[in-house]
Amino acid sequence: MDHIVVEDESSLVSSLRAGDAVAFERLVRDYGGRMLAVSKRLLSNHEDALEAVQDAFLSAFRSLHTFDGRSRFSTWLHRIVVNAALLKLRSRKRRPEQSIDDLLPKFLADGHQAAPAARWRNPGPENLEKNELQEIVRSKIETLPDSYRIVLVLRDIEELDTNTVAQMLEITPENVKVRLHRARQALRTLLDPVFGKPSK
Amino acid sequence: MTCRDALEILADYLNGNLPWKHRLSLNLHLSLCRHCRDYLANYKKAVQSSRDAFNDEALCEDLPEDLVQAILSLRKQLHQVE
Repeated sequence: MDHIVVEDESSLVSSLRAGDAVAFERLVRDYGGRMLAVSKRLLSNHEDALEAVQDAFLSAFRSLHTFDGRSRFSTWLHRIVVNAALLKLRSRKRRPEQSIDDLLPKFLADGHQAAPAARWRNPGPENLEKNELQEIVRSKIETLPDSYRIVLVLRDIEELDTNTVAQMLEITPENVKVRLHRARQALRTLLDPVFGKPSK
Repeated sequence: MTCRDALEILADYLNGNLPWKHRLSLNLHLSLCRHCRDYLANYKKAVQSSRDAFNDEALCEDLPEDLVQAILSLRKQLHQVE
């Protein structure tokens, strides 16, 4: 994966397997930041995100013997931190999720769109700096119900494939596809006021 | 094909996973329906915006030193146990 890049993976894995404490410290220091970024994309609570990274490193240490080299070590690490973050998310007290229906397109009886989409500005709102726009989009994603937000993050941002996400979330691949589509539609609606052309 | 049918299959359309008959029907619908063309453009931009929103080196920070030390200490304990 692109988010965590481990150079000279095979020698690092050999050193880690040999119980080299210096290699483990190098792993934590060099790649902890990248793993924290992944964790923060899934967990909005900063403390939870830090704990998930700690859990991930310990899990990686414990299960080093299961790394078979068929995938890149960085891919393996990425999966571990995603799983640790998902575990942390599940351990939180669950709140009832709000329905996403209001954010989905509405149709007339004949199947036409009831409220046609506004044409968006291209490339984007002129009055916002790039980092301001990024912040707004992140805040909109944050408002999505977890069951949709997580699928959106795992598929579109972490770039995991449908089957991997289905396994991680213990749902069917078809369910992943439906949730991803609904999450994107809901995000489109939430971004309408940001990207939509002001009415004259 | 109605707008309802068209908007339901956009994800598969963009992935290239749509059977050719459905793709043909959707292309025909899009050629006739400006509202669905606009919706598709916005949908694609929403997906790209979500990717761009997290594609920022500034979001990548170092682990706090106390966490690094905690991880190294826990690893040492585990190593001694094993």
